[in-house]
Amino acid sequence: MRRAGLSLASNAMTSADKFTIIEGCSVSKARTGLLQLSHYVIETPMFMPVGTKGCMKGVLPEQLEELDVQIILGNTYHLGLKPGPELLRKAGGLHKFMNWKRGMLTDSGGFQMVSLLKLTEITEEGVQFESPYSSSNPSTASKGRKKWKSSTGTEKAPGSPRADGEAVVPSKDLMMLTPEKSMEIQNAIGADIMMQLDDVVSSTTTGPRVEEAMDRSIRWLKRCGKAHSRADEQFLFPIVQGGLNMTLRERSVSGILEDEYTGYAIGGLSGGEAKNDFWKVVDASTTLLPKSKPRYVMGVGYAEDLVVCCALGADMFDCVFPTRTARFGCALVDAGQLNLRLKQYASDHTPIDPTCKCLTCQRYTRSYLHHIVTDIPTAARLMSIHNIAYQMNLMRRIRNSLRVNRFPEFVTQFMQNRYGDKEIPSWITDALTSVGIVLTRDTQAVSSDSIDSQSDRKKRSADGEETGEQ
Amino acid sequence: MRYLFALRSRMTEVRQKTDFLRKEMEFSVNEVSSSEFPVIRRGVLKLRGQSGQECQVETPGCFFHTHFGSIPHLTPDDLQYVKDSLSCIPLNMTLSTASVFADALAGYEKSVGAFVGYPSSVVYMSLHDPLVPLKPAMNEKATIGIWNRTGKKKLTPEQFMDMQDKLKPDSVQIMCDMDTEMEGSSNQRLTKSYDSSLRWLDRCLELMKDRSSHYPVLATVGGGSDPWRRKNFCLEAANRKVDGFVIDGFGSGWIAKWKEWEVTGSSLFGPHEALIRESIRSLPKDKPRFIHAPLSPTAVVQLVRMGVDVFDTSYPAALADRGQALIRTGDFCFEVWTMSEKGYFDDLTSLSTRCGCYTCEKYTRAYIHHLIACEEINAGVLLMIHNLNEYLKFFRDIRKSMDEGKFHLWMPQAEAGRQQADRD
Ligand SMILES: [Zn+2]
Ligand SMILES: [Zn+2]
Repeated sequence: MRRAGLSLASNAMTSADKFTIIEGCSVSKARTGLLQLSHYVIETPMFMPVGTKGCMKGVLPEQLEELDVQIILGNTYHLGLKPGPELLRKAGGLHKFMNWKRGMLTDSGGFQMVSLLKLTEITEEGVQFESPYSSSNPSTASKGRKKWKSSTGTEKAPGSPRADGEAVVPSKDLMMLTPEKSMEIQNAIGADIMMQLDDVVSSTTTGPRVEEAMDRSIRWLKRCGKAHSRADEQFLFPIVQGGLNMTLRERSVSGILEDEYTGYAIGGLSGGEAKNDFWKVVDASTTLLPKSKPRYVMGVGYAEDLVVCCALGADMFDCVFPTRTARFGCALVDAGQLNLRLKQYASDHTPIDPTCKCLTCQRYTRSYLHHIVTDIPTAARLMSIHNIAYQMNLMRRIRNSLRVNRFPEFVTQFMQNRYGDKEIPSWITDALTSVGIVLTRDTQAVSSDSIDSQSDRKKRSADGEETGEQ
Repeated sequence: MRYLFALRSRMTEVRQKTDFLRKEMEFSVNEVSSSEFPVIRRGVLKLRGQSGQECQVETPGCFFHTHFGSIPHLTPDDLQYVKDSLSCIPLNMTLSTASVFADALAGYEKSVGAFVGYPSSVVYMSLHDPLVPLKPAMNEKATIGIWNRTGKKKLTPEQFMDMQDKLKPDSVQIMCDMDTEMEGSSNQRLTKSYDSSLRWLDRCLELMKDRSSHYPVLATVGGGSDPWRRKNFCLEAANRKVDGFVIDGFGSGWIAKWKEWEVTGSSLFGPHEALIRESIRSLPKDKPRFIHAPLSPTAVVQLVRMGVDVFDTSYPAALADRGQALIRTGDFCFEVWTMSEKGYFDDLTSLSTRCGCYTCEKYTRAYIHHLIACEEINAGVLLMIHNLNEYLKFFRDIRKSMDEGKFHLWMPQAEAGRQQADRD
């Protein structure tokens, strides 16, 4: 479902017109815009739910559309192993394979390897890793046999090469993911946006390794660009690296900016670094990157992080957290999270969020969800639907407030809803102050316009209880 | 042809007669038997929920099997992909799983159907989930045992009715002791089952009279493989003020066996076929007969021919649980495909080329294979949508064949094989 007369990009180099800023905040660096992709035009700021293995766990594509999801993320590492690039090519790309019509972004596969696999070695050539299906790793090889045991006994013994799927490099215990291989798989997947393979180091790493990784990432970017075979349809995003070192970040950006790209990612964050370091790097990176291009902060999904990053000028985000926490029974609301496994919800006949329009909130009470959560697949589905709805609503509220130039008021209100009487973490006030949004305790001025007022929410929630419990 | 005409005109009569629903549960059925086809029952079961919603089930037909009140794998909006709507398929909840939220419903003012996400559904509360094997020795002299995740819960008739009053379903299967087997249950065990079940039935009916709550009720008839008890169960139950019957007492071994019957081509109840047929025949003709089990199309046809009216959708759910697809390979033939099998890895055709449901229209066998390989719950969702469509269409086709006088074409392959063997 493509909106209003769009043509495919003819040249990735003349990509300036792919991103249109509709409105910028008059105070902070926040902006709202449209990013024109091959499959869809996405509104920014935008959150991208993660559908790791070619589906959004528990949510059908039509349900995602209903929730106004405009772009999803797929993982190259997983998809490269299962079902493999050959089948994806044969199927006409992942969009067709999984019945998804809107935007899609694939990561490079590098991050997964470093985080999931023990034996990885990074050389100039690429990321060398041990096959998850190799004989020395039987626990992974036999995974999946329990649940989906075939009645005809056709499973392979652990350790035998996968005859049914092309692995990244089949039938070898050691595999190598190079920038070229990453591009090949990502071209086969066919996502609208592809990420360069980068040399990933933990965000808490310091010293020469950070610099090495940053420089290598730039070299790999050039290799990715050369290997990229579908530049008309798929936009390659470079990744700004450099750890927590601003000088390195600066060098990274200038190296990347030697060529022009449709958008840029800020990487190497959300890995356990201090929040104070986190926002400063985001802030510095968005300042260094061209204003006219979308900026994607990788791995960000907590509501307060999203709001702050938007204020700092970021446009796109992804995180597994909202859907993962849903499956463990946690529902997202402005005030934080509801752990629906807790006894206190056993007879709570209100919806998760009375103001939420999602299927789960329209049809179900916290009580019913409490009784089924983590027990049946339908519960995981209902929880995921709400949490994705929450993320989408949050981004929509941000965009709407930007359109009417009331973003600072929205931020103030949001932080008040989130923290109530508790103190707002200093990194948030610092980050917001740095872009001119000063949070005050006195919210009299903004509570009347009710962008999303807590008192309003509380009232509606009380009404719900009245009708629910008589 | 004369038979066909008779059935048609009587069906019209039946429909007119039941246009106005006087009770919560009304059943009109037309039964024809001939020497060639043992029984052909074609009816309409009308149900009315407590909030006024009505549901009209064409029989032979089925109810939605649920687990903790949810149709397995599905969210309510998925039913847009299912042809038969909630207005013709009631929700079959089971006390064993619904009991976990019975107390929570105390402060809930809407119906139990609304609580589980299906506000427009009429809810029938049976005892046990047909996909959860009965645990042996659950029932004691004065109580039945139901199992849920909090463990075993013992219920006396008073507690059973209390729980129903909390859940407020629109019809109820009365508690019974059906933990017997077709083979191996002792005389003593069968006597206990018989005595307890009838005693509890009477007690529950009595309790309902004293209370304000009234539900259409189903009595359960069992009796293992004992002809006298099977028959007397039916006769005794028929003497009570009940609205229908659940045929049970075959034991968990029987359910585990249905696969075997299909492979070996023997009849559904093996040597006990005639016995079961006779006992069902002794039930009053004008009341619906239910059976709760994951039954394949072949098994359903055999039971329809024995006079059973109402089934449930636990079979498509059981297949989806195991990553299997029910595939119609011919007008009267079905196959079960295990989608994890290697051959589907790069099979980019739709699941079933004759189905046309959401799953078949939008996805390929390779994609479903991939989801299973990745242990994604979406595999169950897509398979359930397809299996449900296939199963419900099968019931529509059975009814259509009855209306057209062609039900004999559903002669199960199994039986065909047996008759062939008889002739040889
Ligand atoms: Zn919601
Ligand atoms: Zn289908």
